[in-house]
Amino acid sequence: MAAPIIEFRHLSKSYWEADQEHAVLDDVNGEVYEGEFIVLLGKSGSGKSTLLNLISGIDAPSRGDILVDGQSLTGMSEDERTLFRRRHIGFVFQSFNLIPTLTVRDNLLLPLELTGRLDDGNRTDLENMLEELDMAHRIDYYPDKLSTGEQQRIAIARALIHNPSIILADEPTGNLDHDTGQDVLNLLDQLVRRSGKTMIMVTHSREVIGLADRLMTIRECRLEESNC
Amino acid sequence: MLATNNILFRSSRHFFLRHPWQLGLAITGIALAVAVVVSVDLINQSAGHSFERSTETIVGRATHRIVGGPAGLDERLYTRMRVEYGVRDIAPVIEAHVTLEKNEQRETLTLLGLDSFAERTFRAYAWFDNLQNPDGEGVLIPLLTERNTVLLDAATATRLNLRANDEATLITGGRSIPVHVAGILAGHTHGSSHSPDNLMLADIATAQEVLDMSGRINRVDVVIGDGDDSTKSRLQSLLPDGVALLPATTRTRSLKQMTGAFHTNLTALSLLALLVGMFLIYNTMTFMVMQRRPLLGTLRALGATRRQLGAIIAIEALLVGLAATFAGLLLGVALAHGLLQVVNRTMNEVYDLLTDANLTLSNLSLLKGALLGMAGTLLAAIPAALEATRVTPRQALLRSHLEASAQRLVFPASMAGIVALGAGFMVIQLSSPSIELGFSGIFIIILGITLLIPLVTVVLMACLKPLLGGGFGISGRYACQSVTASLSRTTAAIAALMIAIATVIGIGLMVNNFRLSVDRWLQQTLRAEMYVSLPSTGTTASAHALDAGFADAVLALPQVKAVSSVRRINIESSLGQTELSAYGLNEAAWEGFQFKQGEADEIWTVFQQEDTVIVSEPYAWRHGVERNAMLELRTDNGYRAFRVLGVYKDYGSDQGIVSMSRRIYDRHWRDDRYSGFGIYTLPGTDMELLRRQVQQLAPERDLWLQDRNKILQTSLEVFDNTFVVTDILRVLAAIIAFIGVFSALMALQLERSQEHALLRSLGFLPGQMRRLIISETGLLGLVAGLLAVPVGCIITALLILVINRRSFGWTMELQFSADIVLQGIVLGLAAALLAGIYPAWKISSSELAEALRKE
Repeated sequence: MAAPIIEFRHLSKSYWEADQEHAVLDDVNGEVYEGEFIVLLGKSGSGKSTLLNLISGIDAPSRGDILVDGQSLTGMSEDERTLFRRRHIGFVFQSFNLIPTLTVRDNLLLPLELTGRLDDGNRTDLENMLEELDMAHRIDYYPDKLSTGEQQRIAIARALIHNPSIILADEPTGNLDHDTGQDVLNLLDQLVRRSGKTMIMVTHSREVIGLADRLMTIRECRLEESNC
Repeated sequence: MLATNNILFRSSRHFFLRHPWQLGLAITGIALAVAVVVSVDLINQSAGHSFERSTETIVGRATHRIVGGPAGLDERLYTRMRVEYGVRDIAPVIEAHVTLEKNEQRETLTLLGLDSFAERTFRAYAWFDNLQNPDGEGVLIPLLTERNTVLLDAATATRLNLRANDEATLITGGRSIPVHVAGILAGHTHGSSHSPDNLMLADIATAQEVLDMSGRINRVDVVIGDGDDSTKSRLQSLLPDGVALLPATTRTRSLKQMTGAFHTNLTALSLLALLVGMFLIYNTMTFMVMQRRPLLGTLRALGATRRQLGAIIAIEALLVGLAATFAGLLLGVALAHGLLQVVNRTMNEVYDLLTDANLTLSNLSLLKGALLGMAGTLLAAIPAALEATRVTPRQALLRSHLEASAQRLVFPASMAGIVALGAGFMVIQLSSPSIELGFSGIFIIILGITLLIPLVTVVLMACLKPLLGGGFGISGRYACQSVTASLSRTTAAIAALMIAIATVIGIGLMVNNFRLSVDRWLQQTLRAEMYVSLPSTGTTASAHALDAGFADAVLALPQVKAVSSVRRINIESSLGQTELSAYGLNEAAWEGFQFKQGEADEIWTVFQQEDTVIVSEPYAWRHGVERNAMLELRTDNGYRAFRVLGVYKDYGSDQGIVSMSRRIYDRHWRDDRYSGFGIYTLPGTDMELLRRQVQQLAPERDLWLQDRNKILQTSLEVFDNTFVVTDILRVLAAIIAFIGVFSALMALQLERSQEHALLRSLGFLPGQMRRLIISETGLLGLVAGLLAVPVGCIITALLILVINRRSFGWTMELQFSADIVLQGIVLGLAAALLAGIYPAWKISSSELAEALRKE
């Protein structure tokens, strides 16, 4: 078997609240392989989002290590983790998190500009992607003029536009109705699978669980693994 | 309903508790604006009261005065009127400014020489029966019988640490004379509601002796009943040639006119500070409402009515306004205390008014300040409150709705701005000579330019985007985009900053140009190497004089090439009280005059020969006098007409001067004395030796001897002192703006902290975030600074060409100093950049995961 693209080694994360250490993840170990679609399960507040934040370098672990493509994130500075995230991670949030002061076009161009890959070819890719998402007519709209389903589709496009190797999705259908959520999941599955990217998704949707390669569950601060 | 409101108020309170810095800055900004307005109003009121008090003390109940020529009146005229003609309600007066010294401490006082027995009707405190110490001891006898004996008012005595029977030194006309303080005038004097201040009372004979006015008096005060024309006619018929009966109010009126422009300018400056303050209040209140737009939308969605939300915002504004106004009133009183000293100095140095105004806490001033603070805050909150309550619950939650409204307003606002600009210029054009309307025109122009800000911002950002993108990459591009995308927030902040910087630039440039003009004028006017006169102040100028023999003696000194002379007197003219200068000029001195009307060659040919005068620019402006007009002056032979040959530049007096040649003066006035001389020396003259030699020509007097450079330096020092208040108010306006802009920009950035967290999650480095935030606030500062330069220059031009001309009649050079413009831009940029530091530090140092979790 190929080397894992993501590896957790004795990973722990805790927060201090009122002089008391509150553990969210404790001695988590696990591996994710390239092209895998992992669904991360767990009760509300169990640490699912925290694990995604640790993988993306948004947050730093209290103990232990995360290796992404063989690179340890633990030893990285804030700037290094940001540069790593810029290149390797595409993030889809539950509340979409589009930049309210940028149009659809500018929201999508932002990751390309940040990675220094903004050229005419990419602009064409962007237009093609919007065509595919049936959003080309909304290209100059501001996010709050879009429906929630449209906003999440743009958020997915933004996560993919700069061609990251890992997609992290934190309850991407949590704010959507069932049908729209279904559409969004299908889209996400289709785009990610087609491009062979690795995806870790936090979700409670039974339909998505059916699509996943593996399930990981966080229970009492530990990561448990099961096949679908 | 009440319960709902309570919950809504709790939500409002919680918001303010979570943003204490914003609340604090808002209160500080409003308080400062109120403080500036209140302090200037208090100063003007106090100066006015002090002026009225001193007028009441000196003029008393006199309705008219009998005045003579420059040498005053022969005292026998008074005796004749009283004894021979039986006129009763008259009193002789000698009035002069003198200096009293005790233990190296000096005070300039008004010396009133009076006949105590004639004072009952005029100044009750000086009537012989009332002349006693506070302890009841009579002081009349020593006052009448002992040589050089005087009385002092209680306040002056306390300041100089003098008591009854103390000795002090009176300095006047270059002489030091020992005086005996026989007593202290009672605190609240008879028939008067206030205590006199800066007053020295003496018997008329003592005053004549110390002022070297033997046999002469300044005037005779008269009381004539209302409509008693027969007494007036009778008195007029008794007066010899060269003596006139004038209403007492002419003197008061001209003194009031003299300081009127100064106070109007102070008021206008305070209103400018208020304008900055109003923008600040508007800005702050708008932000406080805008920040809670989503919350307000949620409350509307939950069923809160528009009226309820409007009431909350109004009450918030009321509470903020109340706290700020209270603080502003306290601060205003403290500020007025400090500024009053500076204003007193200006009144004394520049206007020669012995005002030592104490702060009068006028209820009206405080009420005005309170109303301005409260009404200003409420008015400024109205647009924000309306916006928040008008939108539907869904719209309130949509940022794009707000920005779309702002974008839609860009064009109409620009059109309105252009109309306002035109209207402002028209008001200025058509409002001459009103100073108040001139200022209104300036305010309308400022408003017009403010309305152009959104358009200029959009255009500038579009131009700067590629440039900043090249320099700062994505941070620069994003910053430009963000400024345009947040017009609803950025416009008010830019406007407040722009007005403040423009004010700082405008007033700075005006003062600088003024100083430059005065400096050049002095350089050109002062042609002699040394000037000599007797130390004196305005009202004593006629009294203290040198004679022709002194001039001859100076001319006989070996180093002296030539001597020019001047005699300054105050006379009546058909246009009111007039300062007349009679010049004995040589050709070198002619060069010192710059004519605004008339040709120099032609003027100097006629000037010495015919009954002609030249008038200074302020005089021409104030009285509408032009070349070839005829001016009637009261000579020793009655009123005579003099043709105006020309109008010359002069910054020496804002009331204006009429000048004539000494030869013509001698033809019409029986006065052989001189106020001062200009000494022209041969090359290589030892100035110190010359100074000693000139002083030896009048050993009994301490002459005022200054060389040209010293006069230049002293004059500019006086000039700078005059503008200290202006500078303080300018700095205060800048501080108000700084606080306002700092607060607004910081709020703008903090409001977007979640957006910033999102950008970081997408890959913005902490350094990029810092650059982005600083670029954004810096861009706002830059736009404000760039707009402020032309606006500042327009304000300067209007102040110089319109306001100063209307206030003082002076024309000045118009030059733009790069230093001052740069100072303004740096101020704006510094405020803007500083405002970005905290949000930049906050976003780059905060836990990203935490910030996102809040999202």
